[in-house]
Amino acid sequence: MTPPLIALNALRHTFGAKTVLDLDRVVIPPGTTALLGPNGAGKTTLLRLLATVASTAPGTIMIDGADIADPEARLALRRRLGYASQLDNLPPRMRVSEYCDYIAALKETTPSRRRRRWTSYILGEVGLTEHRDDRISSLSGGMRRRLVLAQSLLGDPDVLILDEPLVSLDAEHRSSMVRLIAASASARTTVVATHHSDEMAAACQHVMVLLGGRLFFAGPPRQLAEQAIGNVWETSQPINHTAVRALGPDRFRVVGPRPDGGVAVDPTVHDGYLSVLNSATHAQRNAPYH
Amino acid sequence: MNDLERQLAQAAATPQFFGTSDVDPARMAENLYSVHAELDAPRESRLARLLRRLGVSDLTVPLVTATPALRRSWFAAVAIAILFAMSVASNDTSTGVDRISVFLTLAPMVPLLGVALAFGKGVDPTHDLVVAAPRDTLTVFLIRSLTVLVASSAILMVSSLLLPEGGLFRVAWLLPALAISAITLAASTKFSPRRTAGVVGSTWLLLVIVVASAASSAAMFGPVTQIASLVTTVVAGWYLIASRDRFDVRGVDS
Repeated sequence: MTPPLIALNALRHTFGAKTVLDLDRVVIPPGTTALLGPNGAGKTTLLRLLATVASTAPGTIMIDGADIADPEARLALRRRLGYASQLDNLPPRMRVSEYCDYIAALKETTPSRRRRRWTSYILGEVGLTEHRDDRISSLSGGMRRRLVLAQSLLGDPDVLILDEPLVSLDAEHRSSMVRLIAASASARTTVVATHHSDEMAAACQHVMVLLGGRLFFAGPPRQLAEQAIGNVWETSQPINHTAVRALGPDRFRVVGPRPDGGVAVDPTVHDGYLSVLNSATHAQRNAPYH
Repeated sequence: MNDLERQLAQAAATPQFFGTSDVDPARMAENLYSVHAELDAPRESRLARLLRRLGVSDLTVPLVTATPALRRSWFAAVAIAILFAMSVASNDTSTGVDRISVFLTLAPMVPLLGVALAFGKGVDPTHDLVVAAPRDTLTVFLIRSLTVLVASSAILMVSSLLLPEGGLFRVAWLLPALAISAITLAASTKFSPRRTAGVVGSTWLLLVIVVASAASSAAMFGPVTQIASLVTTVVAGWYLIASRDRFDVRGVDS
């Protein structure tokens, strides 16, 4: 099956009086899309809407032209969906393999032999084969995160919704998880919310930047990096600036106006993201009735 | 890795192992996964094996065994609740029927609590995944609720028969238990199961006290109550099925 194109139209979501998502027209093409934004930007809300966990009204989410408000279209999406939520919502008393079997059964994978095969395969992919008989409560934070990702891949879904899949992982496992997400990117439409923009950029064809529930950038990672051209500096002088990263004890990377002693460097995707955030924050502050 | 697995691993790596070179490596690898999956598969729990023997479908068994309320802690709570009810009934100094009435009043609360704790955001960590899965959310909710109802009713039935007196009257809790559980399930299409169970349970206790004060506790569990409970169960069941779409997007909030 060809991976689907997702189109969002006039999508709004509120918690009480607060609007947490306000997207007019957004197209998420097949391939992997990284969703960037600070905490509270609306990433998780958007992913929950895409995963059909929350109601979409008002606004529409179309999957290959079918509105998922329609029960048939929603069921069709759920049959091709893998979802990993931000929280490690795992049942602590269950064993790892038992949990995978349960999730595969929810995904209507039958018979049990097929579920066992999927479990064996997917636990191997995330490096948890040795822990298949362990109780989930005995797993480390990183292992739990890998299990959350593993369950989303059960059944080889062609729509994959991942909320912060790299959180709690060490560098080695982050790298292997990115490889795993990238492995079948052409066969899937994957949307990944992440704070690890540079690491995910290697696996993504598209990037979206959200702030305050609104979209401020959509395009390929290279184009996002280009947003910061001429605004990225490395300096040995610590300065008071929001877009500063410490690269070492006496090395700082700054996105913005040139600091004293700053040397221009090539921007990364993360630099581009910070640059867009700076502009977006500035635009929001200066917006009328803000 | 034992000898068989080692040989199979070699076979997957070298098609020549079988004296032929036209074996598809991808297919070999897939077959190896299947063999490993069978070899490494943990033994199913006793409950799962029992359910299969009873003819429960392959897709339903994992949903039943994953019911949060079926953990040891839940069974312990049920046992304590029943022991408490039996103890209160045994220590009562009034007539035999009244003593049993205490048990009959408290017994329906056990399955009710089980239903409240079988499903929902607050009690099931996998709640979002259940909603996002293609398996019908109402079906999962019903499977779990019925599992808890059957398990708790079985324990209560044994406890009832252990009561020294009362005859058939000892099991007069069954239909009221079904009725208040069915009302909770039906109302869960609109409200959280836990809140609903709280309201329904309180109403039940209030009703028993009012009727027992006005008439007698025997009247409370007599034929009229039994027929009313049966009708309530059927109506609530019908409403639940008619409202199944409500579960589809939001699942059950609790």
